[in-house]
Amino acid sequence: MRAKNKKLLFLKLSKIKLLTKRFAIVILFLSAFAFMLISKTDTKVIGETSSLAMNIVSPLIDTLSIPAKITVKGYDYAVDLQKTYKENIALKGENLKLNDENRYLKSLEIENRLLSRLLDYIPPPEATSSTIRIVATENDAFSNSVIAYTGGSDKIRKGHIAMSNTGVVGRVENVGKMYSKITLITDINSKIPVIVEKNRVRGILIGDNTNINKLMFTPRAADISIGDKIITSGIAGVFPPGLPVGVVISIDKSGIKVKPYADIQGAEYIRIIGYDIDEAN
Amino acid sequence: MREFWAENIKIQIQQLMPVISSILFVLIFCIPRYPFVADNIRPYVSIICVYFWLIYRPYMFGIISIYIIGMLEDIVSSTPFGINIFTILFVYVLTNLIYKFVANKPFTVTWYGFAFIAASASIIKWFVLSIYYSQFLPFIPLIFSLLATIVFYPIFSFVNAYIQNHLMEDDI
Repeated sequence: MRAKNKKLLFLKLSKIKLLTKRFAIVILFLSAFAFMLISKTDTKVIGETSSLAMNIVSPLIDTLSIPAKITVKGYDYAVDLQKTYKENIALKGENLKLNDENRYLKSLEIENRLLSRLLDYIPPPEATSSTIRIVATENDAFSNSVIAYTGGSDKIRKGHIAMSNTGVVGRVENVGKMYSKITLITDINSKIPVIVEKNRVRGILIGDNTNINKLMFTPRAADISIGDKIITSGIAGVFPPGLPVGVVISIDKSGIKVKPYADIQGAEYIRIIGYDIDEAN
Repeated sequence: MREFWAENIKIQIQQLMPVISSILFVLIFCIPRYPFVADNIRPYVSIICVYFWLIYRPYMFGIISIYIIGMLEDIVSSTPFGINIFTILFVYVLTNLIYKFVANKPFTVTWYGFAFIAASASIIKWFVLSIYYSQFLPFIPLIFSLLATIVFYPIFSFVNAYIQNHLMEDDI
């Protein structure tokens, strides 16, 4: 009897194995669809699992990039040496100019502080800043993101803004233990509240996986022209106001197109701007 | 005894070589700053590797290996989780369907086969993502990435062929 059961069990197990093997491709396809559905409905589960996996994969990319970095650094060093003399002369001139500007800005700051005190103005919280190193980039027709090493810093949180030395790069999407994923402003998931610098017209800057962004939800009669600078609005309290984002390059029937200032290609480091308005209050 | 173990480990590593090399290529192409490809035009390395190994060593490149490569791409990208697994499984099914037309044929035929697979996979990915986001994704970067993928195929084939000929034994 026992032998019969074992045989029965054996048959069942083998049947299950056979069925799994036969339908493996269907099961795996279904699992892929299930992942997509879960990430559409519940981003928390996928986000947490993804950040855990990211912490395992990112050190590998980091290690693999060492030879590439050494080669690039060597090349850059040789090129930089050639440029240094010319740059030095230009920088001396620029330094004199900046000193003048700095003196003027300091006087404006004092004036601003005095006027604020006079009006009893409550200033917004000061933004914190930390610089992090890019480990991996994923820029293609379907996604635009980078992974950066955060070293377990508790200063970096989901929603914080990422900047290069020229402008806003993206927003922190996923915070892992040692690495974080940053969705670039050109990604289709990116939506940033912005204003036109010259007349403070509000809008939302939307990415579409190309290198150019779209400025949407602006008033119809708004005075926007080519060359206008776009900066963060600070609305919703997620981003500090006034950070440079891009410049309007075309206005037509399809909408207003903005070219971001920041160029992530070749960037090694980015700054994360923390602006937790709720915590400050 | 020691020789037996060493030989055993060597065989295991050689059997895993297609998966290991594919994972390495996917990770290497995530390293920021490589000057030979423009900003958002990037060849789909995973499709190249999966196609190559399915044509030349199909018995060493199982469906689970393919699933792992797709999952790895999902982890590093900001696309919805699962889309790269789906795309790479699609490549697996399609490659198996056209296998007899492209395997053991001149390189140009294999290359044409790859162009067909890469185009189909890119379009299906674009289509699924367009449904996911409820809007059509831009098509032009996709075309450039696809062209880059097709152009890069011979280079990757050369490297993969080197791995196959020098790092793997024929009887494995």
